[in-house]
Amino acid sequence: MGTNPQVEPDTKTSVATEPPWSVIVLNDPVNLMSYVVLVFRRVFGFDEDKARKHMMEVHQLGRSVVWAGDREEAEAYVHELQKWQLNALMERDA
Amino acid sequence: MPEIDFRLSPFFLQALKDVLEPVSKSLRLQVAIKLRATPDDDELLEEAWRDSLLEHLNEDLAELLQLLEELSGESVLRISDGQAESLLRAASAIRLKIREVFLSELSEYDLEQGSINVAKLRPEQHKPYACFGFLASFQERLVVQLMPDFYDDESI
Repeated sequence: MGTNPQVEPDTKTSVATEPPWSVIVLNDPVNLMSYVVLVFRRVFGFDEDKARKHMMEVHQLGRSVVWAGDREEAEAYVHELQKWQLNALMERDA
Repeated sequence: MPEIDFRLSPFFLQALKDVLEPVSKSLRLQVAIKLRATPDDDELLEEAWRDSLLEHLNEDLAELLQLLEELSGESVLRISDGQAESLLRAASAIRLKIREVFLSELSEYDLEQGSINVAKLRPEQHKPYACFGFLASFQERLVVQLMPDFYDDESI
């Protein structure tokens, strides 16, 4: 019976990366376009062009992904957008 | 610092109070926006989440009701940027609630376009609709002061 070869431990580690969470704002018929732009600027620090682009997506497409990243930050952003009375939610990317 | 010049008739001011006070009371218990379940259906998190939103909302509403008390026929209000943001959020919550409670049968398109035929509203909808419109104008004037470059005031 031969001796077992010494097995070198596998030192390669794989880091499980979770898919990011998306923060999504949905359209509503009440909030003003100018107000939504202001909220995006205040909450995310977007410049006016970027804030307008996302506002127009909400207006024309019914929703806009305004941010993506880890869950904790996504929750904080959704909560902040809801404080501003926007219809916001988070979804995990496929 | 935003500065807003108001000229309101006593009749209109009373109409605003008639709508704002009961709507504000209902918002002390229930948020104006639709909350979705948390990804894990965590009831404790959902409760804490809702309570936190209600707490912030009540602070904002208190700011708006206080302002209403200070308004007389003609007023010039000087408010801080922080107060202006609080008033904007409160106005948004009130408008969402008015839409839900009093104006739910109006189409989204008509509301967005502002093409409501007032003559066709029921009498009990008149004050809420006037309040809805007044708060939209109020928000526009605040936004113009906080973000002077933005002039488009349509609703999304």
